[in-house]
Amino acid sequence: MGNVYFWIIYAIIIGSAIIALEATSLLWAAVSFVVLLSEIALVYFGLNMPVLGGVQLAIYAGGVTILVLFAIMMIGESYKKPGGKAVRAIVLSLILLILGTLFSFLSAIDTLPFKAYSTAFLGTVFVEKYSFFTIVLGFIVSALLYMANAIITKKREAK
Amino acid sequence: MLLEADVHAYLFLSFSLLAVGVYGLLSRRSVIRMLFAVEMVINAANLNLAIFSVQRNVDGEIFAFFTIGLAALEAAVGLAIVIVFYKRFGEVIPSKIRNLRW
Repeated sequence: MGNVYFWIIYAIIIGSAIIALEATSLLWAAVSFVVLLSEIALVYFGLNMPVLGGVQLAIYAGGVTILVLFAIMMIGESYKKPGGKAVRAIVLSLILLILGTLFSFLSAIDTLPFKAYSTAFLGTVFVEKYSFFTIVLGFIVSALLYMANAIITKKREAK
Repeated sequence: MLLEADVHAYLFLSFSLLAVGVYGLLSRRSVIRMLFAVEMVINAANLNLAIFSVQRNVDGEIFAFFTIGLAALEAAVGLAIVIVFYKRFGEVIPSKIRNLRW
């Protein structure tokens, strides 16, 4: 299994994820969410993926969290206690965890040695194999934004 | 390498994060917390991509970049919808959001 640093990071990730869902103050939930995302970036750095870790820090821990903070500041805090579904949700998620872990051990996932890729190699593969995919993704994003604009315009006309 | 762990340990981390995210999606009634839960599920998928990328080839890491971009877009659109609903109705309760249907 893993060394002690891995399990410390594991405990911080899962603990901050639970706090992000259970904290009564949304502000503290957002802070805990930042900790969660930063620790996941640390896992990427530990796996010799500095570019992915940097992107995770910049986009998730930076951009998305600032968006969430602005939303919290605009709509305020409204904590509602979970209803009777909480027990069922805990049972279902535990079943998911146990089954997933069991299948990962039972399956034929080999234990190949970990590799380290250089940033230059990453950039080369990105440009040579996935540049067309980036263009398709750009079209998908544009279509999404156009649809959102169409929905808002339709609502305004209906009003 | 700083984090000495085999692939099963990383998969256990990923499944744990997925389980917490599913719990949040099923039990929370606050839209922002549901958004947190969705982001946790996406991060669990990203961890899987990164692990198998380290073991095999670099393509999984590139797909993780695309996933991060799409997740940021999803968060922005979701929060915009939440703010529009709050401005119109004064509250955001997921079970009562039916006005996007036309």
